[in-house]
Amino acid sequence: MECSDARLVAFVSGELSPDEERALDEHLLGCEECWVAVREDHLGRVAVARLQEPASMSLEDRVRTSVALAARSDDEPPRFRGRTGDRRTPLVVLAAVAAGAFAWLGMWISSSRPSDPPQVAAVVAMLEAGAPSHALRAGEQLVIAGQRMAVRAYEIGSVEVVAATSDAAFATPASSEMLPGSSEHAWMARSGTMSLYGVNRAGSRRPSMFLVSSMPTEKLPEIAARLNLI
Amino acid sequence: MQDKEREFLEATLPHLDALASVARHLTYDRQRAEDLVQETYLRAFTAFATHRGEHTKAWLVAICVNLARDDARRRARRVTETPLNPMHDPPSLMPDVIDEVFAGIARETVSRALSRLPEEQRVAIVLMDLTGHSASEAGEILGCSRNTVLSRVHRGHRRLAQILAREEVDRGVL
Repeated sequence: MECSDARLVAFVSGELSPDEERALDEHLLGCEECWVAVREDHLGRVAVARLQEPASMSLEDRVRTSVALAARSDDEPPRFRGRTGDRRTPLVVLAAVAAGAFAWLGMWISSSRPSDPPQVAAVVAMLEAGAPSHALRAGEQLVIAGQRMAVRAYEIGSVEVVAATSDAAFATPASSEMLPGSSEHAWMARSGTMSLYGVNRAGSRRPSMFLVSSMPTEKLPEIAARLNLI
Repeated sequence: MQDKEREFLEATLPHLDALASVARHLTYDRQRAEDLVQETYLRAFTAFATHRGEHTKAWLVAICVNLARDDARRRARRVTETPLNPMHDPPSLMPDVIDEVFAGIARETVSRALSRLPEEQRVAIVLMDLTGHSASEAGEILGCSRNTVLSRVHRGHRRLAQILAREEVDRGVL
């Protein structure tokens, strides 16, 4: 029998007839080259078997949440309004939700405030969810709607404030008001009972940021300054 | 939960492990792999109405593979990636290397070795060995014949074994 790659492939794939298999077995006894090929194939399979690994639970949560968001957007597509031109389709905007944000995003889904961009809505929901967690007080890195951001809660004069910062500009709520005379695109807005103040910095080394709090909106620039965010 | 969402999740979530495995070995970056899985599910959700209901796993994996290729093309346009180190004549394997040595190699080591295979061999191995597709299904996903898939898997196994054998020789295990 001549050496044949095609026959070897059929052999290791279990596709030879019993007669063909017997003939190849005999060939392998006298052909070192083919025997090594068969052994290498077998050892490669043994090694690959090491890679069987179930998906993490957090990935399942993430998939469930993003599908829930997409299902919701079928009825009522979120509106996105950004100053930096980072317009994406709702599908892409809904992508990439960090595991830590599920509870808050769940609240956002049920609270139905479609005019807020998902990043803003998620942070507002964090504050509305009650006392911030230890993790949030220590600062959390999240990916919400495809945007990487750091979120941290502060207690200032017994009032909770949550600050979000990101290297990318934040999309602003439809109701937001741009502050005049600002070269850095400062904005203010209301979302339910919450006040928002943000600064988007395009092309700057400092991150873009926004604050959410129940305190009056006009107090937030001062708080941002005290937190060294502006 | 809406009916469409429930129906979709019931049909697709059983294949999450397979999708995660494919994504992991297509991207070699945990964050990108999870993003890829999520985007696959979102694409699948929007296209679910047109899905005929059969071969759901192969349908999902095909979406995943195509998205990964699109992503790779975008990245290739943006950056010039450093090519993998060329292989330096791996030693011929001694036929009597025992299976236990290979079965005990750290998962990370195998994963790293797999990442050094040519993409066509790597994807064929992932589809057949890790996600349980038949050669015909893998051929449909990859747009090639089943014999081509089997040949790529075979060459991939051999090369993987050679890379790992070399590493084990370097570590003094073999």
